[in-house]
Amino acid sequence: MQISQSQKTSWVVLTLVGPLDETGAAELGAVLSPLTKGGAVALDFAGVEYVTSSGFRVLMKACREQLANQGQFVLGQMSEPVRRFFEIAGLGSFFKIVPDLGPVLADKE
Amino acid sequence: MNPRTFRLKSGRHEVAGLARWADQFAAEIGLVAPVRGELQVVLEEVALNIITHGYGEAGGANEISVTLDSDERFITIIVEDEARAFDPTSRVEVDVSLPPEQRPIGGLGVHLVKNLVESMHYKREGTRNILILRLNRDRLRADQVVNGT
Repeated sequence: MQISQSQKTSWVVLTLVGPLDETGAAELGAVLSPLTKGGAVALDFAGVEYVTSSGFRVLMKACREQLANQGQFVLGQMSEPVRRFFEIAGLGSFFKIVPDLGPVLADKE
Repeated sequence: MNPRTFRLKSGRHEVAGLARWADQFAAEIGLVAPVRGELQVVLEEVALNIITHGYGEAGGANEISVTLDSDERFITIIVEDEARAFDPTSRVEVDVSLPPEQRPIGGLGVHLVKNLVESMHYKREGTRNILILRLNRDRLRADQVVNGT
């Protein structure tokens, strides 16, 4: 999976392209690990094709760490089929998922 | 079309090859992107389940065979291995109603498969585990099944 990192106001934004499968999850885990010590992290899912349980495992772990460190962890720009995987996994309310990251990233809080 | 078979060794890094092969199959039969994603998730979860729970760490030389076939309505997936008897259909259900802070991390693989496929059958024949799954090619119908629960 291609992962590009950028900064927008106080947010670190990771733009993901490709499947969040076994291989993608390992790559994302490595990028996320130094970023979940607090602060604000947003994941742009527009380019994600599907998510397997390996992907969910990495996301759940990162989200837990972030919240434990009083940080923020937001997912956005998800296609309807990808959103459906989150619903089937019963994780629709586990994560903060927004349709549009724009307003979130504009916030300075 | 004629069924196609792919064989992979029992190692976590082997699932990438399975995904590439399945993408080719999906392109050949003109599968729409959302169902291609579902097929990929099902294949990875089933293969990883055999690699981690079936063959286990010592499984490197062992093989898993995956056969894909398709008609107008369904993709049929047949997965065979020679690991110890392991019936994924009997795995305990994941409790998706738990509040976020109580959800265990992991264990979602079989849950995803069960909820994505139309049917899932397991049988043990001699030394072989055989898992037969059917995935609906019709996205709308699959959605009705999910929304109906």
